Amino acid sequence: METSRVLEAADMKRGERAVSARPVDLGEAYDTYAAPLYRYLVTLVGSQEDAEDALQEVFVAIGRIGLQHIRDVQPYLFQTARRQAISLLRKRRRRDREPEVAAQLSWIDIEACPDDDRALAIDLARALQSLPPDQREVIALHLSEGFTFREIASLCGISGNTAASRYRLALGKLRDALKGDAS
Amino acid sequence: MTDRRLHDMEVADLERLLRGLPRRAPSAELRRRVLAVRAVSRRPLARARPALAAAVLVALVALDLLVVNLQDRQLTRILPAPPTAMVAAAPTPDHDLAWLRELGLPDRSVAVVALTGHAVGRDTYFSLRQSLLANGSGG
Repeated sequence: METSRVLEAADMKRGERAVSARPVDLGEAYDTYAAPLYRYLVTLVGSQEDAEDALQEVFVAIGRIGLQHIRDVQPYLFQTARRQAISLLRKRRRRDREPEVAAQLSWIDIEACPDDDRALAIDLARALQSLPPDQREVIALHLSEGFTFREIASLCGISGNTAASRYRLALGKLRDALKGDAS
Repeated sequence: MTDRRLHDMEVADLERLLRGLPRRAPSAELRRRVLAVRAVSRRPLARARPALAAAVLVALVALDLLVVNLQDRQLTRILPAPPTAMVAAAPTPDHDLAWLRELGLPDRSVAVVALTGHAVGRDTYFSLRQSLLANGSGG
């Protein structure tokens, strides 16, 4: 697949994000939010296995509370996921773990990329993984999940300007990293 | 070696490229696991909740009855028996307790008197009333 075709696909996806309609039960909430939460968690914890564990904890916690008691489901789920990730990262410092391959740790599904694009996707995933965690988080939320800077600010407890500047900084670093590798 | 297509890419193109790549999703197995865990963790509590509510209600009623009974016994013990002549001449006790409040007694005392009036019978009720009227304290 040519880069231009990837860009066309991106245009079609622009604005696509988790539906904000209120889910009626846990199954529907899972079907609506599990994928974006999972990508977010992979970005934060840097492990697909840990991301799945954290995602399970998020939904078990939500099930315990009851969806009907949660006013804004999406922000609540992302907040809960973020707390889970932070808690998991703290615990992980105390145990040894084999690091996963950097290219597998972004929201990009390398295996789903067409053969022609796989090398490109791996380079991007590696470059993403080289970013500082706070910048990687903003990039993931904005580009992968379509969050606005205001929503990111609210989730991460930072100002909108900080979110936007982290994003710009991260994009610049990504581009420099890719150019540096290419030359 | 990085893909040469990235070399001259502008930031805007990079954004669009990142948006366009396939995105990960959790495994299908996880969905089954999450919903199964949820069902298992919910069931015992859901079953226990009505029984727990009933038990709490019964306990509260029992406690209430115990308190009333103790207060009645206490009042009966404290209050002196009224003179027989006074009892004979006494009017039927009314259950309008406004007069108790007019004495400046706290609502708790009023409530005790009301309960006592029902629980220990006319004589005790009357003697309590007399005692309250006489010294304004109620025992």
